[in-house]
Amino acid sequence: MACQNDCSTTPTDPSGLGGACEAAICTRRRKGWRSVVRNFTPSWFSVNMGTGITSILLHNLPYNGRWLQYISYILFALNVLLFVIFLTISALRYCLYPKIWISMVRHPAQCLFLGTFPMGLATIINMIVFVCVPQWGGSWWKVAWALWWIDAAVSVACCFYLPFVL
Amino acid sequence: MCFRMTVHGHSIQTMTAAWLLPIVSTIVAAATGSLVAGILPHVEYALITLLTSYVLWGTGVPLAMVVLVIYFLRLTTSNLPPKAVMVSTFLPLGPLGQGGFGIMQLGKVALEVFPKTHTIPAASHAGEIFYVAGFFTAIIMWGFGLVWLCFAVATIVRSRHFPFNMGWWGFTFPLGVYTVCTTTLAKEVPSAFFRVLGTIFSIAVTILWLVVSVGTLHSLWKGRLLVAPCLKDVEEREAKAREASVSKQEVDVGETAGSGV
Repeated sequence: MACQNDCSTTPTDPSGLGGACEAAICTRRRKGWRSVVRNFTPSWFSVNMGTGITSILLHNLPYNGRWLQYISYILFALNVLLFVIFLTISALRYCLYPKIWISMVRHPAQCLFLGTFPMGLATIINMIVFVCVPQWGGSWWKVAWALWWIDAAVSVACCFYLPFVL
Repeated sequence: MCFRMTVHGHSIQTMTAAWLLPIVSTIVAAATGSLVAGILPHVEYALITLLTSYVLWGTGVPLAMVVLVIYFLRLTTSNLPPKAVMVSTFLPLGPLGQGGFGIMQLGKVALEVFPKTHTIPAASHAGEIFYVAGFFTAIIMWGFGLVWLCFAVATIVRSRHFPFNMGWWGFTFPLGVYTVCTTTLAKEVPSAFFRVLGTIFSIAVTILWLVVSVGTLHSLWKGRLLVAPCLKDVEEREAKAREASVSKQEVDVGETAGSGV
């Protein structure tokens, strides 16, 4: 088995989500922004998914109120902010260290989390449709539509490629 | 998987519900597409988006069902998932919840768009049929999701203590999209059941979001989260390259020293 030596498949951490077993590996690289960039796994986009779906739920709650709407707008703004930050760090990661990209795509658990990127983006598109388009009108439908095409393309790439190399 | 694994040799024990992640992404794109199609000002654009979304749904849902079968086999023939990935037992709710919501929403858009664009012209009620079929599919998928929700809750209750990691975000999204499916069903049926249940789930997701957010910030503060397992390969290779260059230098130094004597 190709991944047997990899600590992510040992019983302590089969998730590849980060845990005790890797603690020893990169202690020497723990400091500084480079370490943050190097260790920034795609699973961080699951934060966008979680935050996005919470904002969507609060926006569409059957028994709703004005204050819930405001909380949902705040979560939406937070989600967009986090998404931009995560996207920047991810772009840095794979531009500065292209080898990490190859290693990540080949990693049996990590590569699956690439799917969280289009899903995180999808929650943002949902909220653009729910909030920005009715409130501001104008060309916001173009923004939503363009983002959706990107999202669809990326998700198809994930769905068609990743199960194939699984 | 039978079509299979050109890179990693997986076995049934190493399989987790995380296999669903890349597949669910097209289902999420389909559901989002149905919402986007609803706000597009030109009906032709809406039709293109709608049909693309149906295809996206078709790429995701059946494949997710296939993975669910493998996952069920894994759960029944092997032990429970390891504690680090325990939360991934919630992931099956993702394709079922989002798939159900997506097909219902697509039906709603088809109801409006099909007659205007004369799609499937031989059937005068094509849009209505898609709409009803959407609700029918959604309520069945909702029922299947209920089974997986019970499995997930039972697994979590049974295992009790499991360490915090980024996988905990799996508590929010799958249950969240299942809730979206619940509240969308509530809009179609004259019963308070789905509405009340949807509200309860929504509150649960919000509380879980708070818990996981605090956990993430806390772990980040302690420096435990920014660890990438995939770096191990890269760092090992880098270390080897460094060693190789150092030993080469030593040899070079040795040779020059030798020739000097």
